[in-house]
Amino acid sequence: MRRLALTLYPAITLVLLVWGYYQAIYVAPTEQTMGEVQRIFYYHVPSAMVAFLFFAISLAGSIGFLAYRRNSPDSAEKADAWAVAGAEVGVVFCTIVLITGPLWGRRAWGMWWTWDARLTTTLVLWLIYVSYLLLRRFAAGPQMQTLAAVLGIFGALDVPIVYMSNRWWRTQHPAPVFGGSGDSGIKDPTMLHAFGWNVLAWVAWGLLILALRFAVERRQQEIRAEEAEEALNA
Amino acid sequence: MKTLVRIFAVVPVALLLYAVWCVLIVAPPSPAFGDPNKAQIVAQLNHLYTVASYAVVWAIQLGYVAWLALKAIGQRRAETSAR
Repeated sequence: MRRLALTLYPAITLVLLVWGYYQAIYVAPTEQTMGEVQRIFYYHVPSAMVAFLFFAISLAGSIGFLAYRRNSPDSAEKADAWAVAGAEVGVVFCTIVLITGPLWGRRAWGMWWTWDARLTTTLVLWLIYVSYLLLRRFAAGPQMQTLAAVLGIFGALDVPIVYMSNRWWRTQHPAPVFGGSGDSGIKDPTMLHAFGWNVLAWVAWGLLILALRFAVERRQQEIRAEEAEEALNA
Repeated sequence: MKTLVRIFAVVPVALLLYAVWCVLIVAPPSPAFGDPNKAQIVAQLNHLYTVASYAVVWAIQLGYVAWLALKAIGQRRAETSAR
């Protein structure tokens, strides 16, 4: 059963990605003002949504680690693995957002970057999680996981600020796709379908690589535990 | 297996170079005001930027997956040598 799921899930994800691509490039109509470059939206926005989801997973993992670290070390290690996996895959998706956004901006606004609230808060979010990953990579000692968990929690505080930035402040970034004012968002049903399929496809892909990263981290923890045991026995 | 992953790891680099080629080398300069071919140039630029953007997305995703695969192979090798 487990083997079937492990084969079937990547296959379904691949089909969803191909279908999402087909919907975005061939089915969705060309936007009248921006032209073809608007199609970047079909993977820029889902990537941002997936990044937010994974930073939330990282937040839950960080809180779990701090909660369990004294009473249940195995649960704490598991929570820590979710925290690092969520942060790392979140950074991958956030990087995509920060590259595809300026590519769209260059054509739509005539410039690569502007220090607008949405763009700046997203860059800050990316920097916080990159520093989280650097801390995990280069810091040593028993307090590293605790420090990383605290940084992970602080980093997640920026997610609602990024989300609300183009509601709280007047920004150059387009209005919110969902939950904005009446005249914002997608009006064309074909565009909405293409967008929905792409959200589904990128969430499925993201969960697949999140699971892979979690498995790699758990194995790393086992290797570290075995090494520590061997060192004690020697 | 490791050779296969290494070959696979070349794909993201190729995609990234392709994106740079689309945006910085092939893309024509933005049309001047009143250029009779403006619509055509704008459409070409939009197409190139969209293609480059998709190439960057897959370069990053596949690059990350290749890095994860290399890490997993390294772990398996470390476990085998420890036994």
